[in-house]
Amino acid sequence: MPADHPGKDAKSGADARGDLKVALLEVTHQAQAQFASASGVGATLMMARSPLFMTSNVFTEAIDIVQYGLGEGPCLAAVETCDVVWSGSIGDGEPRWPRFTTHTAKLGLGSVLSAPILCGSDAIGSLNLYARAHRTFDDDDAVSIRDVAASVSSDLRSLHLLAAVEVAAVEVAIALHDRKDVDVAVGVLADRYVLTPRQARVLLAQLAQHDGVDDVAAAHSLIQGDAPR
Amino acid sequence: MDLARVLAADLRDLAVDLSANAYTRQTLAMLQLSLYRQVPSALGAVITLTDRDVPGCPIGINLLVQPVEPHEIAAALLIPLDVVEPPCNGNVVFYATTPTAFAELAPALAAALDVDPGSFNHQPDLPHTSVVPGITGLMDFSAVNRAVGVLVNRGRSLTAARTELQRRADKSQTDLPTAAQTLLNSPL
Repeated sequence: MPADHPGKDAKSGADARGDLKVALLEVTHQAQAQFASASGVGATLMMARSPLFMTSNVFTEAIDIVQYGLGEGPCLAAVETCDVVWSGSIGDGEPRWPRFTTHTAKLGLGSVLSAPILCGSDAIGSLNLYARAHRTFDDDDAVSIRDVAASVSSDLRSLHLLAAVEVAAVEVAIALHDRKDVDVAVGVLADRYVLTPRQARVLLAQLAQHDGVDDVAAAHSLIQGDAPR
Repeated sequence: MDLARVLAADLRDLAVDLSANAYTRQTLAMLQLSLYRQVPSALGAVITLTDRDVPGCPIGINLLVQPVEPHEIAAALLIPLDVVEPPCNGNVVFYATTPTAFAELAPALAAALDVDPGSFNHQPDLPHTSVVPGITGLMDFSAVNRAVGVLVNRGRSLTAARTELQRRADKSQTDLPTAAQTLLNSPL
């Protein structure tokens, strides 16, 4: 079940972020087949704005939405500690992550087992098993999921780097695009009122404030209004 | 690893006080961190993007912890970039101190993307002078766009203004930033 985070696309040879989602989904399906006791599987990679996660079913997606929305839970703890984190008592006395357990117990979560996806000595994400029953996972599962997370890390970390490139490129492109409109508007105002660029920039900010919009919107409006069609 | 202070300052300049700024810093820091995690001998990365409306004015984002001298670069890997919206194209180049730094990464990237490993350039043109952390090309980019604004104020459409500026550059056998600066410096 994809957790979509719509955004503008960059292509670095191909769509890295899209490929990353496909790879994560594949990981969840493989793990789901391997861990029959799990009610669902999630795979998460930490990105700049928000975690990118894919899940094997709606139950798991709901849990991960809660977890990453709150910024608290076992998967995030696995990333933070670079170690396997598990609990068999969600909603049954688990003292860690109180907000997470309160919300997810209502969704029917009883047990969780999370292993970090490592890149060197750092964690870039986690592989997560969820079960409705309490005390579902044991020591053998903990060893197994650590092995599975290690086996998928090579492909995922390459894609993670490409996705980071892609996201950064889009952010810079947006900043350039906004800056371009502002500079054109500054040129218009500077020429019209015989102002220095700095004075024209201040005037643009005042126009934006007057209209209750941001500077980019004011610049865009000015340009579109001035330029003959 | 944080972005170098000078780069953070340049990013503020790039975005002026635009909303993209905080996210831009965050995403660039994430890229830098991701690179150092995978390639311990990495010196950093340089993203070069050209807005399709402003050809000839590439903006370089030098994601480096400290200045890099040409002789320090033993390996490089160029990956083409094509941003669909807003439309920009360019590339990212990773630099490293170890000759085999990208020997494992490049095939892994190609396999992950299911593309020919040859689509990545392992021998891009290397810098001849120091590469310093920060943003390059911003002054030229800004000058060209302000000159376009001047022409818009004098009655051109945006497209016509860009064409007119290019015509002036061609006529003077100079580049777009120089033609823009000439226009900005000329009296009304």
